[in-house]
Amino acid sequence: MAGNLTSDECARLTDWLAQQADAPVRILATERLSGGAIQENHRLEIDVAGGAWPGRHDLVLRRDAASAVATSHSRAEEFALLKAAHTAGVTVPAPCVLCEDESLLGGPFFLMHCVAGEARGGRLVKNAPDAALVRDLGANLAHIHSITPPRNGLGFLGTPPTDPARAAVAEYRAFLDALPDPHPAVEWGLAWLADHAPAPGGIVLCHRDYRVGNLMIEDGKLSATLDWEFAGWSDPLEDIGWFLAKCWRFGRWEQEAGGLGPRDAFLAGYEDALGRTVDPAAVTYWEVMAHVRWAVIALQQAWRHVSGEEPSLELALTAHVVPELEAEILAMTGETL
Amino acid sequence: MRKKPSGPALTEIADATEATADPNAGNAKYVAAMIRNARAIAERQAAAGDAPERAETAALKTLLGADGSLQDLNRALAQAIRDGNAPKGTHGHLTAVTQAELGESNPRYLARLKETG
Repeated sequence: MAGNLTSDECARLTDWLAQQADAPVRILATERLSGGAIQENHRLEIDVAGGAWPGRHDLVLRRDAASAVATSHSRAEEFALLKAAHTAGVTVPAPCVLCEDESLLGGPFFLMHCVAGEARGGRLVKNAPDAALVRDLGANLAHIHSITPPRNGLGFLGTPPTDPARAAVAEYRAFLDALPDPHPAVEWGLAWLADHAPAPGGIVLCHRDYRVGNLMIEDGKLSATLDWEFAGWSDPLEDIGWFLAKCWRFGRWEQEAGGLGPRDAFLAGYEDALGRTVDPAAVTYWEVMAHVRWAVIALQQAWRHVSGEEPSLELALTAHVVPELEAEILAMTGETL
Repeated sequence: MRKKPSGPALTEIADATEATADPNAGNAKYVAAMIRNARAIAERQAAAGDAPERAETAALKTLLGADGSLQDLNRALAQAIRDGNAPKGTHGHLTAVTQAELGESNPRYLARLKETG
């Protein structure tokens, strides 16, 4: 299953949409959108003649790509996450309808509203620093964190961890152990994280890839929170540390909120929306965690190339981001553990 | 210890990517930048030769008071760190090794890091 929607697929989709809408439906245009090695996105413009959703709609159809791997959430799970986020006031593409009947398109898919905007970090950091924007990004994250376990419809996220920091350290050590080369600088970071773990706080829904690059911005405002495939129960500071970490500032280091604006504005937006303050020392801890996590993921990605599993220049180059992360880990942790 | 793929293996995937790249693709500029970056890293590694890894091996032998290959010594150091037995001087050693690698993978990042302290 790959490439553009075929005419047969469009015909079956038209019939199915008509049943869902209880009205005649016409597909006006389809277009395969770029990006997404694991999922495919297709823009779908439809016209519904009456029924529950009358009028024209600009939608995105999301389905698994041919090279889909089983590690990320399924389309049904992603749809459930989008619905929960949308209900909680998170800025996401409004989810429309899920189809788990594989006879239509060969696999499950869902439809959501199409949202305009720019997500590329390299472009966004060329704009003037914007305290109001990063304040909104902080508030938006607080809305995600208002979702707490247990939660109907999100049972697939499993049992919430009791101590997310120590669980992460154990997980990343196991990931390193699966790689052939030793990585003592990353081990240094993990040992520091094991020794300095703050007391576990409340557990909430974390996006776990909340950063510039996965946030769509239109006219200086957040238009969509994308890429929910890593979402899970965790310490809310994991998302804050990931967002603020120097490795996600796209080179504009002095604007500590993702390269887009000041740290204080981001945290103020978060704290005001959530109604409680965050401990700056614990945020720093999770910024170290962010660099360690990205280093471990980068090494895993590079190994996919080196092992021959998936030859790719992009994966190969990811290995050479690791020295930057190691330098930051060593600078943040200091000379003694 | 240089991250893999390094040197000729990096050049090889850059060449293979160039040979099959579609100049009209939407991401053609991005792919061209990746190819340039991979070749530049491989060239800097070739220019430095095996001197950085020889220096790293010697430093590890002193730090650990042990003998072995670069990979074995690094494995012993990683284990010592995990066990809470990192020898004194470990942070300085790792910083020196990381900076040497950064000088090959992204010298502009290294220069900026030194500038900003």
